[in-house]
Amino acid sequence: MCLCCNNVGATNKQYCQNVLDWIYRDMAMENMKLSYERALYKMLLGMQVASKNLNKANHNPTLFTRITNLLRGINHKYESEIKPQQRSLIESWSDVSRGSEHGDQSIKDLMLQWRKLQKDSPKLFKGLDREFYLDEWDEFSAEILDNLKNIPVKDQKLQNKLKYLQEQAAQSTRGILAPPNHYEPEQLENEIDSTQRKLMETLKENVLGNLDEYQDYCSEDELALLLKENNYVCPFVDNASGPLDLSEKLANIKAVLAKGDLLKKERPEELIPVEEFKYKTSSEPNSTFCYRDMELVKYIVIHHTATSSKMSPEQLNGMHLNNTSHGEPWYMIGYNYLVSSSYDGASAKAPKIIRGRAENVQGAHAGGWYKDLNTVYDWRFYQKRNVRCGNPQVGFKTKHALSQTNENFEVNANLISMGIAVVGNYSESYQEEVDGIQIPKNIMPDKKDVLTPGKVDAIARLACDIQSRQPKIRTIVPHSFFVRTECPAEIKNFLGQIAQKAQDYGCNFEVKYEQKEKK
Amino acid sequence: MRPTLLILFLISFSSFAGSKSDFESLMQKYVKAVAVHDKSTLKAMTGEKYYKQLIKKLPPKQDSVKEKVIFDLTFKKGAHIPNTYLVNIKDKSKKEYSEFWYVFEKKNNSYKIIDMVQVEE
Repeated sequence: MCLCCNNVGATNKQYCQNVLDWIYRDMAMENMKLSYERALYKMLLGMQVASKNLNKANHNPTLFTRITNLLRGINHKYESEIKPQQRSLIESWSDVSRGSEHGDQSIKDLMLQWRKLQKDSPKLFKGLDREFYLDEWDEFSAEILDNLKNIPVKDQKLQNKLKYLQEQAAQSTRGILAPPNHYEPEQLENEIDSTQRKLMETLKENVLGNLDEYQDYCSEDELALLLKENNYVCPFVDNASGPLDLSEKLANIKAVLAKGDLLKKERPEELIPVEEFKYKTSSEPNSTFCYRDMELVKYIVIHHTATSSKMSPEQLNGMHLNNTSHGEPWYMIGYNYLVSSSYDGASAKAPKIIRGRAENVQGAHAGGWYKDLNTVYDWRFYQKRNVRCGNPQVGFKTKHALSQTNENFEVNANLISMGIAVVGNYSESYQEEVDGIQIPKNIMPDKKDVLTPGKVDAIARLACDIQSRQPKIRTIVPHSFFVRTECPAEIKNFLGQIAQKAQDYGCNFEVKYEQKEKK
Repeated sequence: MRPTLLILFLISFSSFAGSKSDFESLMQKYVKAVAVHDKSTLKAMTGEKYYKQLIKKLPPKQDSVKEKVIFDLTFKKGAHIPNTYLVNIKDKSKKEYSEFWYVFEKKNNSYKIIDMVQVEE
């Protein structure tokens, strides 16, 4: 069946690229209102932060005028052109994206300028979380909508689809486009969160529906490849077992989409490279791991391995593979990242970051519970989220995230955290009393290591890279935050420095040492 | 300890299977040997590397030790390294086991502590 007749003779890849473009056009159109609202809220919040920073720093007045004008332009467009006419957004969008007869800028141009400003002047937006920056989706959807009328459509099915989408878009936009006036920053953050959540929900439905629909024309594998090549979703790498076959890859991409992680990602340059390591994994059928919704992850947990600093990732993996929990062997190394400078024998080298479990794979490191579910994570949040557990041998089953809570409404610490382990021993050996007899513990490492400024810097860079991918991760805790343990021993004294250093790289972390006891 | 007793002791060691009572018995001997610095027993019970580290970190020597040391014990079979067991003990009054576990290796039908590892859950 011919999907786009003007594509006869095109390679299959080009053909599928057209399909993919259509999927994204659908999404952009069906979600115009939400995308637009979200962008407005973000710009308003950014404006508030920028104003504060300008006042503090007695900044260049030209710059202040520039951003004031940007915001005024947005409000003017809304007040003068969109609100009074109550037209469908598709019409409004065409108008505003062209700019008015008086020569003002289009909203799309304003968005582009705003985005450029955020990229060029990070100091101006200091204190504004990355998640509140305009992102590629804002620009991308604006661009798609802008070009919508120029798309040659000869295929009847697609003409019908376009007509349907235009009607849907028109219906969905009437009456709601009020830019918020006099909002407090917290309210704006809530509005952004709320529109973001809605946007992701609908995008998820759209893309899954579209994938089903378009599979008649273009195979899952081809779509999967294109999705990956275009970075529409985070490319999935299972570093435990190497590249997956394509059908599995699509299943994983679908899973990522199902988690709402669809927005084209902002991909800032990494502050520190991550070395990939091919770990041996358990072949036991009852050795499982869980993919998790990254929305659930809020903490970075710092560990030390309590081993020689020369221990290799392979040796650590072997140690962890030997471990069991509730009778089930571990699948692979439990940490998400290792920080090491000397496993290959060159202790003077700069610290390296080595990947452990992928970020979207729940780790096995924190060994405790988060006790404050009632206040920070409400039940509704958990009710909507799933984990997928299993292994490539036996397959994966979807489970409710709530299955990882206990009878005291405490949450499995591994589910909500990312584990970074510094390879080495940062604690003295100690004596533990058993029935009045002292027995030595932590005796195997030869010496106690010292956390060098280079390692502090490496951890800060890594934490910042993680936050730029997962903006909800804003808290660094020691392992002892979740469970009674010495770990990470003396590294605990450096967590403040790590957070401070991360701030130099444009990230915001708070450090917590203890959980509040439940009332 | 007289050599004959030592031999009997070592023989009794080597016939253990990996059950809880076996490890309880092994840990009884280990804890008592640590308390009184019974180096020959410790040497017989442990791998070379472990022994070398252990003797550097022994607690102050006790003159004598009670007949039976009371403790809780837990163990699990190593899932990856053949013939290994992870064993931990704690004082009865403590709620949780420490994060450091003894790694026992079964070799030629005898058990030796070869390592101590930090184990997360």
